[in-house]
Amino acid sequence: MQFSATIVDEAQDCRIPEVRKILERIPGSRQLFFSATPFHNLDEFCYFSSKLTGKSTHQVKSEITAAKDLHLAVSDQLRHITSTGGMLHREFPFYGNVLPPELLALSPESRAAETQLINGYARLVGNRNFPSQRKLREDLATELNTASDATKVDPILQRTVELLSQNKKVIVAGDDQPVASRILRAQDGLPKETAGFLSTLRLAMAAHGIECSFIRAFPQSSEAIPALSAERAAIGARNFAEMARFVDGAYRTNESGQRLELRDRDRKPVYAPSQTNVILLPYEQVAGWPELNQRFPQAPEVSMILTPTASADQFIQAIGRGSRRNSQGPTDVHLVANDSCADRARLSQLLKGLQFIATTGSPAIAPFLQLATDCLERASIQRTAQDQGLIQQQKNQQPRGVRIFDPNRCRTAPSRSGIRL
Amino acid sequence: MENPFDRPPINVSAALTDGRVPKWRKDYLASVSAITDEKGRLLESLRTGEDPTIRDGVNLALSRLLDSEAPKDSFGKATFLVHDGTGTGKSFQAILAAKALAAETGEPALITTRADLIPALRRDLTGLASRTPKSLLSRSNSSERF
Repeated sequence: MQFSATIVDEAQDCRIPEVRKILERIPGSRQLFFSATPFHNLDEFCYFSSKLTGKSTHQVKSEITAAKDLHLAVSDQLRHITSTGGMLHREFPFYGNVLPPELLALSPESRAAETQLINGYARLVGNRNFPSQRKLREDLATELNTASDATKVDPILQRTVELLSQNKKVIVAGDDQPVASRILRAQDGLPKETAGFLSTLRLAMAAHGIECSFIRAFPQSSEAIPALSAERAAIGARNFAEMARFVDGAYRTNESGQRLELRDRDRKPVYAPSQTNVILLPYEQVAGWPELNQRFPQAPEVSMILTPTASADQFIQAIGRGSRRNSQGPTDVHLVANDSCADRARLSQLLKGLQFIATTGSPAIAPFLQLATDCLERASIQRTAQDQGLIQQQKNQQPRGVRIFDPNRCRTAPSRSGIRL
Repeated sequence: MENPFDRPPINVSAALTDGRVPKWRKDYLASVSAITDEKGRLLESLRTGEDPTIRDGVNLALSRLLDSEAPKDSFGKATFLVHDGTGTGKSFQAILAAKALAAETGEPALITTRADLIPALRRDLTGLASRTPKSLLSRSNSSERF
């Protein structure tokens, strides 16, 4: 069987090496890619540029890295590819309001736990081989991220309650990675367990009587494990049902389980309010759920609450889901972060990715580039101020006896050998 | 606040190249047909250029992919990238391009999507595919053949 073309929607997945390998094995002589965020770093750009120009990835990379200004070199290559008919880029500007980032303060306990984790992992990393070290670093990042996000549950709950009282629908995008710590211990001596951020938020909302739609992420790398296909299918079906509860409009299900939109005599879609007004969306799933379409003038406006992510692709995909898919009205975007190491690292990565995407001329990026820059800058300043305050506090707390001036010690003359005794 | 979605999306490519984006010469969508009045209206609006986004995307992609002079990658494949923002109709373009390519070459196109399509789009897709000669439609979890 020969295909006229392989057509890949959500082509940002081509950053996964296995996806690239599978694509090349499909018989056919044409490939057509679709993506809102095909590249947010040099490697991903080189992959597509190589395909579109016929040059090797090595050659593309060499040309770009040899240039004085990397972003300018990428922009030049894009101009060339576009003018020779290799690609097309259209985009809506962001429609909504980007609010100043909400920067939370990290409690002394959270800071102490952060330090304990970093020091503990530093001990574990010692004398390990490279693959083990890499795994440990990934685990540390996960632990730090989950610990950092855990401090945002209450503030985000409060913000959600406020937004709901203003008759808005709320999309919360974040991570949901539960951890059993390698370092921190619970009171019973077992590894301290922390639930994922979105799962914790869901419980907190339920305790306040707020019902949410909850999208679950698929198990990591499960696409490549046939034994997990049934589980993936079950999660997919459940996610579809959860998404349906969040969407405005009237629907019926036909005999084959297909969900059909109800229409009035004029063939216009019938409006009905959604069953839930809050949806919790893990970043891994943001690109996969376009079912949020709603075009009803009666539909409430949408607010998005985002926590930091290192992935500019996922961040922009999440914004797209909220601002483009959900409402006829503008979307408010709230970024909630703190000054933890985890958030500063994620914001730094996010900023790099957004800067790369900005080289494509994307008009929707500018407000988020500014948002990430402001947030990272404020987090760094806040952290520095807190660190200085902490040092001063420690100095003030030192017993006076320690600082007793010892004239004998200071006035000891150097010995003839030059060694101070 | 003005709603930008009342107008077609910004053509970033045109801005990047000072308007030097190649023009398509053949309307490949002309070979794509619909089976009901409702879908006919959608296709008709694409053809009349009410919003040129989808028609331009499909036709430019096919112009490139069917051009024997187009650069080939290291596997000998011609490639086109539609880098369109959210909500510009990428999934529609993907399906219509698959249909048009199948009609143009007589060979089925393989299309992969990561998630389920919106119900209305899936219905359109099924409707379009059911008109394809020799019944080329088959379905798996994440891919469609036309």
